[in-house]
Amino acid sequence: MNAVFSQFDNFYVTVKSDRVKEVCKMYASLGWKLIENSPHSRYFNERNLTFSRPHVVEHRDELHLLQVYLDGAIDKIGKLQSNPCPVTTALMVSVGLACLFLIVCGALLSVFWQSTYFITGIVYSSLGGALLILHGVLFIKIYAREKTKSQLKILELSDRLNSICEMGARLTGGADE
Amino acid sequence: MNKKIVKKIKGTRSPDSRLVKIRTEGRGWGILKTGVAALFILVQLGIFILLYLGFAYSIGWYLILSAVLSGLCVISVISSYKTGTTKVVWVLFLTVCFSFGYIGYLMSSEYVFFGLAKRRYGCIFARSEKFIGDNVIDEKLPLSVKHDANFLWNTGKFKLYNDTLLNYFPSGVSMFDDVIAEISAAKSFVFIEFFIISDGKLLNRIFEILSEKVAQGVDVRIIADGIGSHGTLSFGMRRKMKKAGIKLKFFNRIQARFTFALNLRDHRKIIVVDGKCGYVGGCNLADEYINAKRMYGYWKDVGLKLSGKAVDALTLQFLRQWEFVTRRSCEYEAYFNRYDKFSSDAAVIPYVDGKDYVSAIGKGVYDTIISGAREKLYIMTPYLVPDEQTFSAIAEKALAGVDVRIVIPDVPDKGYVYLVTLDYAERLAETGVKVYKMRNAFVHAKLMLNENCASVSSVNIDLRSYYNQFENGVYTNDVNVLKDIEGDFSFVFGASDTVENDAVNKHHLRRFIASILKLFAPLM
Repeated sequence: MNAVFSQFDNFYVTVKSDRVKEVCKMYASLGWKLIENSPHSRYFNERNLTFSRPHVVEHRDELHLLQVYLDGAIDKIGKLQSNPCPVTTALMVSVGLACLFLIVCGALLSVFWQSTYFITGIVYSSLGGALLILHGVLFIKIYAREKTKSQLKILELSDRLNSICEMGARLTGGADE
Repeated sequence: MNKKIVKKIKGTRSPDSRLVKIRTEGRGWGILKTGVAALFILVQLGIFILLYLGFAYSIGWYLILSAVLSGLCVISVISSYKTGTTKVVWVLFLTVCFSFGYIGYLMSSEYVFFGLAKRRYGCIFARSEKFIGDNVIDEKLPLSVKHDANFLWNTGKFKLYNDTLLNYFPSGVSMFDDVIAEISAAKSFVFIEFFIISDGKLLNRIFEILSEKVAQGVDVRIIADGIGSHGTLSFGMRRKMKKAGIKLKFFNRIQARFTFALNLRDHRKIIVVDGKCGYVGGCNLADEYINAKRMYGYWKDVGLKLSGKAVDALTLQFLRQWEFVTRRSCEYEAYFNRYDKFSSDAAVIPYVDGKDYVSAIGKGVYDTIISGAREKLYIMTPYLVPDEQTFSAIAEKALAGVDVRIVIPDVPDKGYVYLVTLDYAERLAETGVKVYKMRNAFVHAKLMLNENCASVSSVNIDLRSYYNQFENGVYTNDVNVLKDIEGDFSFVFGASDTVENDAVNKHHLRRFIASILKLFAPLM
């Protein structure tokens, strides 16, 4: 056999420190063995992991594909955990800022143009304040609903991760132990 | 302890929310180089426009003259052999921008930017034609295969070979493992021609072996495309290759000078080892093709190995291109008839395509395979921007009840091309074509299969591949290869989602954007 084929493939990832064990187990199911675990040079909550796998393994193409699915699912879970509803948050923050803008505008009108726009300014500020309170109540409700949705999505993705690992373990002959 | 000191010892918290980050190396210098060249081209265009405006304002009758010239160009466009889409785009450009459109049209003329090169190719072809030999087509071959063989012979003198063993590789990594094994055993020469040659694990691995081989007296020649490999092959690696004795040449290098010739790229993928075996397919020499570097999800690519008589055709195709890029006549004879003998009745026709030929051969091969399909037609392509002929041929096959399936990527590499690809895919789905998107993958393979034959090539289904780029491939009716390709298709179908046949009515905004982008389809 050619010397090249005796080589090992290496795979380098940076992982959140508290997830190292979990991630190692997942990659182990795809035949990767951890050969180095070192702290990140800059961030204390991350670690650099180096995995190794023989260059020639059975079902290599399928394992490559599964690994892409696995990385994608892990990435999505991470994003959902750090920010469960990014669109809702962005939208709600924008609406909140608009309400604040209304309040400030109203206040400025009633202070600097007292003679002409005092009533208008009071109306603007009151409207802004009322909308802000309403928006706050709505935001809490919508956020809670979206968070539940994203938690369900995380559960779904976790199931998917498990099935990917199971498939990987089947292909590598139970290497996820 | 001081807070600052504690922070210094412990480091900071990573702002990145991702749980896992795959670490890949980045290279900024390639982008910088391209940027500088692009800046120079823009400056030239700016100066040109300023001079032009000055001229146009100072001479009143210029507008009448330019209208007449643009009108003549419109007539020239309409009477040319360009595709309908290309004609429409040119006519639109010439009529809307009549005051300078004709300048662009004349500059884009093949006679202007490719005339001399074409003459040189003509001389090279004439000198090396004797190495092709006679084309013998077995009467027992199916009629459709005979037709295809005649087409390839008559358009580019691509000979039909028997006695060739073919091996299909369903992934880049499996192909390159075999390539490495063969190169390690090379005794006399290794020829490599790729669009992209990129620094990385794969190139390092191959470079190591090639250096050893050169030291043993093996003749190693590499052709890389001047733009495809521009930002990816570092000067360090080029120097190392030169020092090791590897002959590296670039096809149509990037220049800081505006010319339409920049659009002509060598997209071919050829490896020949000792004249005994050769490889073609969609893979370039870069880490992403073996999934060692993650760019757009899983990278789906394929390759085909030829052993036996047909390898001579690959050798000839490489040597002709080598002679063109080196501008020196090279020896041919010593590199032929070195193959091991195999016995096989299967037809194998290696072909190339490019501006060096009159016809669009790659497109022609696809069209003949499509028209020959009676039961099934399976296609894998990264881009689906067909001309109207290919589009209607595929649609008609589906409407006639042929099982037509097309696999496209789920993850695009170029967003704008993907929008057009999706638009065509949805329109084809409407006619009954089953369109598959391979999940979390970038499909880079260029495969076409019907019940009688298949093509494994570098030809995308887009107008750039059809009309502008130098491409290559292999046409075959080898039953074993057809079976392997079909097996690979089955695997990919299982790993894909289908495009709904009413999807075309759903994405109105995307369709609108795609319809504008289609104006630039000849450049895609």
